[in-house]
Amino acid sequence: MKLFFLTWSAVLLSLFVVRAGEPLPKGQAFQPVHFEIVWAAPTNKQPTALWIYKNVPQEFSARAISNLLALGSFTMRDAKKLSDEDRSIDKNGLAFASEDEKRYLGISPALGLISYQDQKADDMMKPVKNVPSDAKVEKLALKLLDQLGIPRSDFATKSEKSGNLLSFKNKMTRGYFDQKKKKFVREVDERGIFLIRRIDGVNFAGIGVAGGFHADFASYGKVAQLELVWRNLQPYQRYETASPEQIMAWVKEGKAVMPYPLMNPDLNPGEISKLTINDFSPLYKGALADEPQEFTFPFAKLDCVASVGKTNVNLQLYCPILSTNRIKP
Amino acid sequence: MKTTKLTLIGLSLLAVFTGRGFCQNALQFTGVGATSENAIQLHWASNSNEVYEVDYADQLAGNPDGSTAWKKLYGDFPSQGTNTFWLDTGDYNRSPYILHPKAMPMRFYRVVMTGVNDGSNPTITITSLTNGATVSGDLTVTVSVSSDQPIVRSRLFVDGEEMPSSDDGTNFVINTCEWPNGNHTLFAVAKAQSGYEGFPNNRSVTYGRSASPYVNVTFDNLITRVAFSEPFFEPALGQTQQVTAAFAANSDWALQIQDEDGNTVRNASGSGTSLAFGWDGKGDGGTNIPDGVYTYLISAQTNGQAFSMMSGGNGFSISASAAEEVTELWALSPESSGPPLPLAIYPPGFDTNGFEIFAASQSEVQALTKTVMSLNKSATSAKLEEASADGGGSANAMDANTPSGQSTTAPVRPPTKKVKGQKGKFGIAYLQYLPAGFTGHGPPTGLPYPLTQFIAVDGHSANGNVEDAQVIVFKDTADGFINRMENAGWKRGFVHANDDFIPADLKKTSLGGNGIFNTVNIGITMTHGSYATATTASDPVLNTYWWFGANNFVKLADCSFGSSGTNGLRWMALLGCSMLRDDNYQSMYNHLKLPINNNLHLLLGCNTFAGATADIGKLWAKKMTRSQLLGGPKPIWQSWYEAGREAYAGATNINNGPWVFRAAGWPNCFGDTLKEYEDPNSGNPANITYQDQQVWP
Repeated sequence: MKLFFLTWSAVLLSLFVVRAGEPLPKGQAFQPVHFEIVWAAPTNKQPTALWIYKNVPQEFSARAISNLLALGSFTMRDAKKLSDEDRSIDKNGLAFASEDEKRYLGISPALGLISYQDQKADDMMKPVKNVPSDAKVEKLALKLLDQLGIPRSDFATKSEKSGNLLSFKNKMTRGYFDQKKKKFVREVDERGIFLIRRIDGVNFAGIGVAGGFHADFASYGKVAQLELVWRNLQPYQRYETASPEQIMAWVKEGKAVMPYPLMNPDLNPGEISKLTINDFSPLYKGALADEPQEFTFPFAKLDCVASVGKTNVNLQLYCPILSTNRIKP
Repeated sequence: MKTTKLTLIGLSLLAVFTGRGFCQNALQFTGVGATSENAIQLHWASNSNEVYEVDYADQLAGNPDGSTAWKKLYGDFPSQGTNTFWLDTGDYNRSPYILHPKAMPMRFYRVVMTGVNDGSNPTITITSLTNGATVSGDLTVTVSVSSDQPIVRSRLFVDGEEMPSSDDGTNFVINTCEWPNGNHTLFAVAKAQSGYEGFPNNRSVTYGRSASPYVNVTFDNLITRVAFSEPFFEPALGQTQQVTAAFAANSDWALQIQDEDGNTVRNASGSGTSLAFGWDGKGDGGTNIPDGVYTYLISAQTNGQAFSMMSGGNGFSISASAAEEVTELWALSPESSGPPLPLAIYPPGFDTNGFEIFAASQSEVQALTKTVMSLNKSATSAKLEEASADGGGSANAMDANTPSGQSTTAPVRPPTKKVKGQKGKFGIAYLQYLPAGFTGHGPPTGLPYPLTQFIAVDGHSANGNVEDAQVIVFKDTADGFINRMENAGWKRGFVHANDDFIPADLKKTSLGGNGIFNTVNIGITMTHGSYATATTASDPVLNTYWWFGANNFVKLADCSFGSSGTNGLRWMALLGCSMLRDDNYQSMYNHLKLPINNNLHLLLGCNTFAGATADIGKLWAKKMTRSQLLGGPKPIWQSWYEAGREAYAGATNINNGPWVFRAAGWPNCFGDTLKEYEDPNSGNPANITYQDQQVWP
C-alpha cells in the first residue's frame, strides 16, 4: 500500500512539474550530475505571483496610426491591398508603401507589430551629416514612442532608482574615399537603439526584438527603421511564484537551461561541485516580430557561480518560475 | 560505412536486396512501393542511431568497368528504429533537377549507412496530431523538440516525403487537399549539433539525430490530389501549367488564379469528379499579365449528381493515356500480401528477391485483383472506384465526415512553386568539404596563377599544414535560400555543389574562368574563406581566398563579378570567413584588385570570422522578399546584415567574435532592392564604398 501511494505521488508530482515547466527561451539543457546548491540571492526582488498572459490582437490607436502615416508621409492612397501571404498572417493588417517603394509601413494587430522603413534615409550618395549621438538617439526614440502612445514606464530600466532606460545600441559604419580630404575615411552613418518591454515590473527577455522597440536613425536624425513588437497582453491565469527551494529542486532535476550565447561554452555541468545562486530575476518570454504567439509566459533568470575544481565560473540559467498554486480571481 | 542494395524501378518500383549479416539488422530493403502519384517509397531494415543516405542510378553496371555510377539522392536521414522508410519524389533543389520517379523510365536505388550519431540525440514528437485523427484542409503540424545541444533543426515528412521547412522550427503547414484521401503517415526528424560549422582549425562538431514516432492520420477532403505539372511554370518557354484535382464526390468547381494582391486574373469552372485546367499564363480574355507569384484557389460544392471515374484515377496509370493496353512486367510479392506492382528489371536475370514476375496488361492486372496498388489508397477512394466500376454512384458515396463544400489554395507541397515566369535568376555554389574536411598548405601567391610560393593564411605559418572541417550544413543553407527565392518568383540559374563547383566558376575569364556567376542576377558562394597575413614580393596584395581543398585556392582578386543585361549579375554574396576582411579589403582596394567591376552593384561578405548556419540563406531571402504587412522588402545589403543578426541570435561556440558583415559597391546601389534598383554609377574604382555592421553579439 505504501508503495502504491509513493508511486501515485510520483505521478502527481511529475504532472505538477510538467505544468510548472513553462516554455523557456532556447538554451542548452543544464543537466548536472550532483552538486551542492546554495541560494544566496536576495528574495525581496521576487514577486509573490505572476500572470500568464494571453495574446490578443493589439488595438493601435488612431493617433498612433496617424503619426506613423505622417512619419512616412503616407496618405490612404498609399494603402496596399494585402497579399495572399499577408492575409494568411493577419487579415486585419494594414500596409502602406510609397510610390517609389522606398518607404514601407506595416501594421499587424494580430502580431502586435508596427514596422516602418525608409530606404532613402541613409543615402550613400549623400554625405553623412549630423547622425545623432547615442544620447540623442534615445531622446528621438522616446519621442517616437510618445507618438505611438507607448508610455516610457512600459520599458525596462537600468534601476528603479534612476529610472534610466535599459537600452542596447546599434551602429553602422561607412568606409569610402573622401575626394575632398583625399583620404579614405570611416564614419558612423546610422545609430540605433533597442528598448525592452516591461509588464508588471518584469522585463521581456532579450534586447527588445521579441517584445520591445527598435529604431535606427541616419543623418539629421531621420528614421531609417522602426519596429515595435507590442502584443496585446490580457491577464489569463495567475500563479504564485515558486519558492527558492522549489527553484533549486528544478535546477537539480535538469529543468533549467543555459541561455544562448553561453557564458562558458566549455563548461561541463557534470563537473560542477557547487552552484551558488547569487541573483534572481523574473522575465517574460516574447516572440519575434513575425512569429505568432498565443501566450506569454514568465520564467526566472538565475545568475550563478559554479565551482569547478578550484575554479569559480559565472553562469546564467533560465528556469521555470511558477508554482502550481493558481490564484483564483 | 556499410552499403546495401540495389533496387530498381520501372514505371514504378521494386526492389529488395541485402547487405550483410550481423547480430544487428542487416541493411536491406524490406519493401518498395509506389504511391498513387507514382512516387517510390523505400523501406529498409535499420538500426537505431544510424544515419543513411539514399543513392540512385539510372542504370546498373553503366560504368566502363561494369560498376554502377551511384549518385546521392537524399542524405543525413536518421534511422526510425528497426525499420525506416523514405519517399522518392525527386530533388528539385538540385541543378539540374533529379526528376520525380514518375517522370523516369527506370530508377535504381541503394541505401548507404553513412555513419552513426556521435553526439547527443535530440527527442522529437508530433504534438498537434494523434494517431487515428481525421484532418482536412490546411493543417499546421506542430512538433516538440528537445535537446541539450545548442543547435537543433527539425524536418517534417508525410508518407516519407520531406515537407517545406518551418519558419520557427516547430510549426509546419501542409495542405491536405494535395494528397489523396485516406491514411497517411507523418513523422518528423531532428538533428542536433554541438556548435556551428565552418570555424578554422578543425573545430570539432558532434551530431545527434532522431526520428519521432509515426502518427497515422486520415486525410478527408472534398478536394483532393491538387497537383501541378510544372514545378516552376515558364510560359515563355512554351509551358502550360496543368492544374488537376479530384473530388470525393461529383461537384461544381471553380478555379480562380490570383495575383499577389489577391486579384483574380483567370477563372475556370466546371462539374464532375475531377478538375483539369491548362493555364497558358494569361489572364481572362487572353490578356497579358506580369510574371510573379500566383495563387490557385479551388472551390468545390457537391451537386448530388452521379459521377464518372476521373481519367487516370484508378491508381495504376500515370496519365489518361496510360490506359492504353500495353503489356508490361508485373511483380507479385512472395507472400502475395500486396497488390501486383509494375516492374522493369535490368539487367535481365537480376535477383527479384522472390517476387514473381509476369507479363500482363494493366486491365489484366486489374482483373487479377481489384486491389489498388496505391500504398495509401483510402477506403473512401476504393469505395468510389468500385462504385464507378459498376457504372454509377453518387455523392452519398462520400465519407460522412467529408465536407460537402470546400475551398483550398495551392500549391504548398514541394516542389511546385506558385509562380508564373520569373522575376530574376540566382546562382549558388557551395562546398561541404566532404567527407571529412581537408588539410592543405596555405595558398600560393603571385602571378601568373598559380605559383608554388606559399604564404600564411589565417595566422598560420606560411608552409605549415592547415586543417579545416567539413561544413555539412551548407546544403541546408542553400536549400533554404532556393526555396524562399523560388517561392517569391526567382528562378535558379545554377546550383553547383561540391564536385560541380570548380575554381573556373569564380575566376575572371582572362584567367580561365567560365563566367557562370555573370549569367545570373544574384550569386552566392558558401565555402571556407581565408585571408593572407602577409604579402610577398611577387604579389603586393593582401589577398583573401576560397579553399577548394588540398592546395587548391582561388584569390578573390582574380575574379571580376558583374555583368549587364536582364540576366546580368548585380549582387554577389560570399558566405565565408573573412572574405572581406578589412585589412585585406583595403589592400585590394588600394591595388584596384577588388572583384567589383563596373556592372556589379554590391558585393556582400564577412569582415570577420563567421559561422555557417542552416537558416542564414533562408533569412537573407526572406528579408529581401519580405511582405508589405511585415514592413516591406528590405534592401539587399540590409537584408544581408539582418540575416546574420538573426542567424547568430543563438550563437554559442564563438570565441572569435565580434562578427561583422560588410557590403561593398557603387554608392548609388546601396538602396537596391530585388525589385527596385539602379545601374551603378561606376567608373572610378576609388568611389567604391563599404558599409559594416556588427551582427554578433
